[in-house]
Amino acid sequence: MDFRIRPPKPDDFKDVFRMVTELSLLDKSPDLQISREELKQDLFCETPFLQCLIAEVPAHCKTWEGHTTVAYTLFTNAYCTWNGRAVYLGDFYVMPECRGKGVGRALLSTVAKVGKEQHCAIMLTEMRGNTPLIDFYIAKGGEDLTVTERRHFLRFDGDALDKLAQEAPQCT
Amino acid sequence: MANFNLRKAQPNDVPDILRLIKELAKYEEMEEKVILTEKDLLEDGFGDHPFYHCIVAEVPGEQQKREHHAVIGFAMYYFTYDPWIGKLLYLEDFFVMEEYRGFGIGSQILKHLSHMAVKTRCSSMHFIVAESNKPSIEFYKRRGASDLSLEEGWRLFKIDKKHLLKMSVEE
Repeated sequence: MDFRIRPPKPDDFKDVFRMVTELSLLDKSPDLQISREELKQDLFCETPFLQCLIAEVPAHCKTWEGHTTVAYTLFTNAYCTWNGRAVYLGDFYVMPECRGKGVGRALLSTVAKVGKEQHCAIMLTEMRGNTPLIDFYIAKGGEDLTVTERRHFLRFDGDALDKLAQEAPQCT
Repeated sequence: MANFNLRKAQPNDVPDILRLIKELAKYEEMEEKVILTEKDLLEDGFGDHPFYHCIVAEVPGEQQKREHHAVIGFAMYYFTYDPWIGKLLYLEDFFVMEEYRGFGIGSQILKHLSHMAVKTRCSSMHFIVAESNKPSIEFYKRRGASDLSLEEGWRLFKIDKKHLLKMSVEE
């Protein structure tokens, strides 16, 4: 299948948001906690909070519902005190009807290329469930640190974060 | 011991930051995995495009213990993003030297980080802890953290440089 990987422009946002929503429905994620406008702003402001790549097919390959933007990934820079600069891979999604055609592989390779240009030593991501995406990452050399190094992923959010923040001292 | 000061790290703190990174790695029995150098830390934290942010805890001269180090704790963090919830603060490393524990320094660092997270419009603070580090897991859980690996099955994956380079040249 013919396709192109590129960063999105503001006009592409409606497709990015469509796919973010599709992925969250598949993942059974809870409701959106930020507004669509906030996400658009965070993606396209002068110093964006995250990076994005999309996969685009030519018009004659458009999907059943007529879309030509068929995959996306979101990632940020990160840092590992053992290795240094890292890429933190967030959302990674290829529309189901476009899978198995090399789009996912090309998307991940392009993230790796961006990481290489930014002198990143490793890529990190968090996953759950036993999904084909985990198998895909492992096939590409991914190591499950929760298994090999027994590392657990913890979170403070909502009330727990607010409560802790209220107790913070002044910092000079 | 009562007096300590939390502040934003400066470039001249880099030798202490690396020292504490290595101490934490040693505590987790992973000391040989730290390949980062002072030069990397300086460029990556204090250049035009910082990859991390760092706060340090220091004690005044009369309270310094081992080898007269003034910087006795640190926390290193950066910001990531989840399109569903927005900005997140990711706590990469967090450590207080053994002889300075039990005085509330760690607790104050964590509170400061939470305040920073809320102030910068982060909805969540995430971090990774080794399963064997039971004191730290308990410390965080007492303060309201959820263990997403246990509760929701989240796992951390890493792809290393060798495989990243290989992927980056794939067609």
